[in-house]
Amino acid sequence: MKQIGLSYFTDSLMTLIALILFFLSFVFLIYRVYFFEKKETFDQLSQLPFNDEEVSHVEQ
Amino acid sequence: MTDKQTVEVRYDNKIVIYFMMATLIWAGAAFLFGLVAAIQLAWWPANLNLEWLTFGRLRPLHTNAAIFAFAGNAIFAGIYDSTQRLLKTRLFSDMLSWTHFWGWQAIIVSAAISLPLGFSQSKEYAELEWPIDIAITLIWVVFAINFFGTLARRREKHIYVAIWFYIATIVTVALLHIINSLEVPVSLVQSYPVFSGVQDALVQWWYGHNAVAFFLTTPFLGLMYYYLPKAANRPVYSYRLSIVHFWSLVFIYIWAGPHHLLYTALPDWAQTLGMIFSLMLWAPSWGGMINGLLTLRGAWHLLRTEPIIKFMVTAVTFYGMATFEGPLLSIKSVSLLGHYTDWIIAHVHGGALGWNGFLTFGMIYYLIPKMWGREMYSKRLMNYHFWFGLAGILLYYISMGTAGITQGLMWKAVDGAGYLVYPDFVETVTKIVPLYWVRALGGTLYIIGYIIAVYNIIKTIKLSEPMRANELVLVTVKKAPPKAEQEGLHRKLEGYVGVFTVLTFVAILVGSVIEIWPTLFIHKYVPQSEAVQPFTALEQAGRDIYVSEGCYTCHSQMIRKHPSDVLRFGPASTIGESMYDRPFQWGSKRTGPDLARVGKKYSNLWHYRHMDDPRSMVEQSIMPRYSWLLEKKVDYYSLRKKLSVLKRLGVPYSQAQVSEADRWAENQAQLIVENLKEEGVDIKSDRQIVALIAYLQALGQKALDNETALEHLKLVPGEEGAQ
Repeated sequence: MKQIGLSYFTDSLMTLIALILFFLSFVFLIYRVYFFEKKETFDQLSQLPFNDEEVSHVEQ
Repeated sequence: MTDKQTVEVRYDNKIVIYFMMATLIWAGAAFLFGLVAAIQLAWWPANLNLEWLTFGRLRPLHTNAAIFAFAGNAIFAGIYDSTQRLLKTRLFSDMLSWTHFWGWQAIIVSAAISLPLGFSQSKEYAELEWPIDIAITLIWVVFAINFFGTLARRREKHIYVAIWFYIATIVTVALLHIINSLEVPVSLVQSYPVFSGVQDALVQWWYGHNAVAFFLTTPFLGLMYYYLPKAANRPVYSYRLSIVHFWSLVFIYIWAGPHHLLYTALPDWAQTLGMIFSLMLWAPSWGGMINGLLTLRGAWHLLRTEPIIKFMVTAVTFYGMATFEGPLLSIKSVSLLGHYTDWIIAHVHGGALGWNGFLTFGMIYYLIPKMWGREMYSKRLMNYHFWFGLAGILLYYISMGTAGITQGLMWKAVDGAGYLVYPDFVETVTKIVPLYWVRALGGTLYIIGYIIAVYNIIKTIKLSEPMRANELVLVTVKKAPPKAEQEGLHRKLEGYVGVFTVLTFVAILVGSVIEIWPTLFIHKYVPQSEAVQPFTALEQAGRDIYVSEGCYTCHSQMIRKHPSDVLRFGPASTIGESMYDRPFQWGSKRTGPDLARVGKKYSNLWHYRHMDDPRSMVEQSIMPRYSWLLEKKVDYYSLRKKLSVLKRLGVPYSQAQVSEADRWAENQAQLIVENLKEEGVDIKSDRQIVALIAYLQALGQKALDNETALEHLKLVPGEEGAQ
């Protein structure tokens, strides 16, 4: 069984399928991020580091 | 009705300050150890003939101090500071924070004591012995609970990109550390890894490379995404790019480990995967660098006026350079030239001093005024620090890059008749010694910069009010996000920490499983022609001394499948030859020659004299003296336990070999002692040098039909030719 499993690593079809799967996942991520989600949302999110304090007073 | 409310948050600055101070203190130690080690390579007497200061022991101390003490404390400081502010809440538990702090410092102190004493697993960046490994695991769990607990009670629903990188760090480092530290104790200060040979090599470099990826890269990228926008007072260039950067990086990075093992006995498919994924890393790494640098769009003038920006921008630039060079070095033909040489040392230090070092100093210069409520004492001194540091890095990088390429070319040089142009290895070493001095000068400049920084920080603190240990702030919190904001898959994902963490874990698990799982069974399929006998009891004792002394820091035991290696050192190493090696000792640097086939190349007397004084055998050698090996004793009785553990791990020792291990060792030691006596050297059989000679003479001499090896089997009391 293990030997059969190991033999797949020289199977070009398997590696090709893996490559296509990884590539499609990447394309899906790019599509969602660049063409589906709104720019204003991201602009808002990128401001998060600046929303950490309004007024600051010190206590020891 | 408003959807916002203002709440009070009391940030814990004290823990951040403590981690920051620890960073500065350990930085001094890490830099100093590095400088001394650099001088030792240029001038061997700097080893001072003290066993705990030899290069083999000092180098792991330097790397561990730099990675876990300097960079480690820096990332904890930055993570605790930025996480509180990004999530608008105090850290989950003060008790856990302080347990984390003191626990981590105790681990560092344990390392600082145990490594010079020679308690080492001799696996790069994983040298620490099993009790410390357990302590690291426990403290990392404390850190994780504190971090995820803080996330659980956050007041900001959406987790900012910096937090994603912290999540990836915590999850992945835990996995890497636990898997690579699977070991069986032999005593309180020694253990044997569960994996052996090629398995150990692959797991170690899966760990080793990803220690760089997930301890020195992802957390620092998180810090970059938080502190660079804060210092420049403008948002990150592209949040979209940061999403692509994050997921691509964590998925791809984990596969890259095998590029440390190109042309070795590791199966070709794994080498190719390592190379391809390393090349793919170019894209996300540079995406991150571009995102960092373009954050300064429209504010490049700050680079002239603000030292903090100088440090951070230079750090990101070094990140870009290092992540360009890394994939380049992963190309097989380039690796052939650069691997085992100082080019790799140059590459690592470009990243460590430039990227990690400068980002850390930039972050500290940003935090000190915040924590103490006043500007830095001197901007001019900050600038001096920057320029000393930068000059130091450049001198270091150029000298070691030149040394590496020079030596690599000399190793490969073959004349028209097919002979090596530089057959004497030492010739290729003496050629680059002047460059070792230049490297030491570069390190000195970097340390001068560090001293200026410490002085500047001390002056700032002295002139300030007491530190803001607990800072009370008012923050605005949204009660519920407007509907429009709920659109978008990734936006939603950023609100669900659990799902996000699981997906991150899956992303790093894919490459880990595909690369490591098949290798775990590989020893079952080693052809009989490549199989070897396990080391005898005495040879194993010698091997433990070799491991303890950190010989792997200068000597490889892996002859690559390439003519230049084969011409110099003999036939290429096979998987079978190291199948019982725990830990594997393939090495990553050749300051001295490869030792995979050194057995029987020289006499016992040669080794004896060479270890006592290397210059007596090789005039130009830069190796330290190991005279104490002639005095220190081996505990032969402990070999019973050691062989018993190895037998349990799968080494085919017979019961007699285990139960008579001590007498077996003494019998073989006697043969070496008698041989030395014939040559005029009188030495007792229980000295470490005898065991080490036995081990060195066995390297490359353990084939199943090797006559000497078969003779040694007959030395087991009450057993004729075991096996």
